[in-house]
Amino acid sequence: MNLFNINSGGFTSDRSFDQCLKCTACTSQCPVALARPDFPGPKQCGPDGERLRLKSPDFLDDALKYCTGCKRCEVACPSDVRIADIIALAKDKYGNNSFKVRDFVLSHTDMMGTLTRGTAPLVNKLTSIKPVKMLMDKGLGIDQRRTFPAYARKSFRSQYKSVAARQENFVRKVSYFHGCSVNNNEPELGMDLIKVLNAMNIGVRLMKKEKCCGVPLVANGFHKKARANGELNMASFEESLNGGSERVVATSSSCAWMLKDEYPHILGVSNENVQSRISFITRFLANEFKSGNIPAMKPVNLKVAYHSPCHLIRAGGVIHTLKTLWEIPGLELTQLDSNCCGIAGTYGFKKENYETSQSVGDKLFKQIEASGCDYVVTDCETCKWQVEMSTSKKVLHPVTLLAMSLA
Amino acid sequence: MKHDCLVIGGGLAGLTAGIRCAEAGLKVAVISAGECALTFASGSLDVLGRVPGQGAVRRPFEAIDTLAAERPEHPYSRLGGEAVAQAMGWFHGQMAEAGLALGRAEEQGENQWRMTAAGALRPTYYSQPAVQPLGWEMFQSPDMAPKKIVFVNITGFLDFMPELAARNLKQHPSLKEATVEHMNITLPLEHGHGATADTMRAPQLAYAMGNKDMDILSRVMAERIQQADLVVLPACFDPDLGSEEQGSTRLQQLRMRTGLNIIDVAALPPSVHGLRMHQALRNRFRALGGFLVPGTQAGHGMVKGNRVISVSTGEDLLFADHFILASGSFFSRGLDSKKHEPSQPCEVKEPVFGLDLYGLPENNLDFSSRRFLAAEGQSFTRCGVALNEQGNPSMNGLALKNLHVAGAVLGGYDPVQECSGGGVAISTGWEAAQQVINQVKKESAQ
Repeated sequence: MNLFNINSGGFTSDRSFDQCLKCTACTSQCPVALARPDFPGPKQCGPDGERLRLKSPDFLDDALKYCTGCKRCEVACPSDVRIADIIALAKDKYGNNSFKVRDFVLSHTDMMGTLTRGTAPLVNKLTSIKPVKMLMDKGLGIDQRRTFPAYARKSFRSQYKSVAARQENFVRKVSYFHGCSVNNNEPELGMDLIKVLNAMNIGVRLMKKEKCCGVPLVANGFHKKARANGELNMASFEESLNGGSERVVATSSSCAWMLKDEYPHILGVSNENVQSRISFITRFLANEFKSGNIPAMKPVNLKVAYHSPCHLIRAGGVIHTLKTLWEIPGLELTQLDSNCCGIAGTYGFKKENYETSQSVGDKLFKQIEASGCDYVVTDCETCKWQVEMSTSKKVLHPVTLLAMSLA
Repeated sequence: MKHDCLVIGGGLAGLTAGIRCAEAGLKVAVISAGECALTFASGSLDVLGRVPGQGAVRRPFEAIDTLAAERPEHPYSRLGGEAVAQAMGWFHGQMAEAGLALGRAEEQGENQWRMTAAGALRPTYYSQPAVQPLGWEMFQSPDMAPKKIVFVNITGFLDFMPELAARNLKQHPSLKEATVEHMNITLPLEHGHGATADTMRAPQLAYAMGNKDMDILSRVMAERIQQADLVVLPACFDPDLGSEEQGSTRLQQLRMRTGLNIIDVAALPPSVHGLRMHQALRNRFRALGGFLVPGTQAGHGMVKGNRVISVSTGEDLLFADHFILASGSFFSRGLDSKKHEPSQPCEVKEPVFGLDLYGLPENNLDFSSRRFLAAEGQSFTRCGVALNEQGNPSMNGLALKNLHVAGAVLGGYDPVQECSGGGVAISTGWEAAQQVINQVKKESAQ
């Protein structure tokens, strides 16, 4: 066996682990390692473990599955080690990827949206009643204590049809990657985005076809499916950008990070033709505001507390959301101390993770309750679900807040 | 919206500067990338503990004035002892507001002694709450020194070595006659999910312990330790701020329940004390209306004439009227060194602006000593940004008017040898903010 054979079996290995100085800053910031010390933490699962796994896959530690992929370890690292990526790739390469119905259901977010179309009220009713929740808990391992995000009666894509024609009247146009949650659960956010961008004289188009960005698929071991989705999305993006759209924008911080920054090295999907023209929405808005394109707004007179999602922090995007919020008149904005909410996408839905998930989020929940805010503001849909389930506050997306303030 | 001030670096110096700006009502944001050095620090704050050639310093602010005469390049020299004392006093107040009551020596303006995890004694200025300082009287007569010291570890915890600490402490001239013992106490670790202490770092251990563990710890200590002057535990209690004011921290409870004089000292990093101070700084900064932007690496600064216009981060530019650079030393990537040829001195750069530096190496032999803790210190630690008399940095000799520099990225001092890292970070951060505040006032008056 060649110990230095890094590209064995068609998998690439992230050699950034060589830069690890063993300072353990990552472990001190790992929400899971602090909530449950039987998780050895990012240093051991990432750079330390990778050295061993390169020698033999037998060194795979089952504890890898407790990593939520929040990427706080990478934010903490003073030496640029891509710790969470090392762990994600190791899960793909060495993990026990035997098929689990539960993980399939949780991760195939766009498929579930399509299947429930037309029966949304029934599905929502069913997933909120006790016996069904108990069945899902016992049968599938989806924790019954969790509140499920409701499916919308009418998908965003079909709601969009009523405003589609108008969008072509604008000289400037962007394409919108709505993602699964806006399409299936929260079409209002998509409609709010159209209101805001239209007020800034920008039309909003949709891609002819888009698929789940792949974040939940990667987290649940469906890398092949994620790769196929990635290829399709990148082809769609290229088509839109060649067809007169300035940019592709996304309102989900995790989707945006995956599309822009993770496709090449996590999935091997090339995004180089479009990468520089993909923006998380607040980055696009902050840049527009800076160049003077600010919609007419009225004071909202609200006190809000901003929670920065882990993946937005990793993407270096917090500043853009702050800049966007600063422009809203009559907004009293405080920033919550940066703590993970614990949901980590599909992670917190799993029975075995429920307690870890709530214990990770506990610090944030207490801060929110003590803040005296009218609303919590955050950029991520799963943070929103978690905070709304675990605190007394409603959660708004920055775009929703902007739409509320439009004059 | 443009900031009045953008601070690059979210460590002790950057957050001190940020807090001072926010307190003065300025619109300020702090960008940071990677955990700061507080994660690796003792959580005590040194001002000036040693002057090379003169040994331990008792009254640091007076010693600063003496130092200034000899070492004009030292960051303290421009400030003077009085300003440093003022900055430290102000900082103490800010931390108290955030719920972290730092302790100082009984005598105003005096250093105290702190114990390291390896059993060495170091002069320091502020200590963590609930740590009773060791005063100078122990050097005056052996009667004043503690006679019995007991080191206690949680069985299996690897980042604290009581045996080594006990042996080292006995080397101290004032403690030669003292009885120094050590023991381990085995705990079930109530919230440890079955994991054992040997796999945990101090913060994990702190969260793994529950009330059951505290009961055992206090019972066993009360049974087994009779009449000790000092009991030393690793810092693995109270990882979060907030319980301090009710007098109900775990350490305080242990003291009350055992009647023993217990202190906890920072174990190997990550340090619970340092992390807690970082949390206090962040909380204070946010409470004053400042904004924190983590995960944001400063790229390159754009300069026009003698002013900084913007700093790039990834694909974006951040604009502000004033900038404070508090990006840390080599480990924090505030300074960057590259060795091209073994025979050539390494190239040292301040990567954001390419500022003029003090203490550049003439050859590699002079830049570092083979002895890790060499008496003369390590030259590379004294290398860093040079400031002019007005306190501004320069690029190729051109002074930048709206850029101010604070903390470990500065040159001219050796935080390790002098025990001065905390004081330099706080006082230069405080001073940099003051310069910004003065300029903003001046500009708005015009």
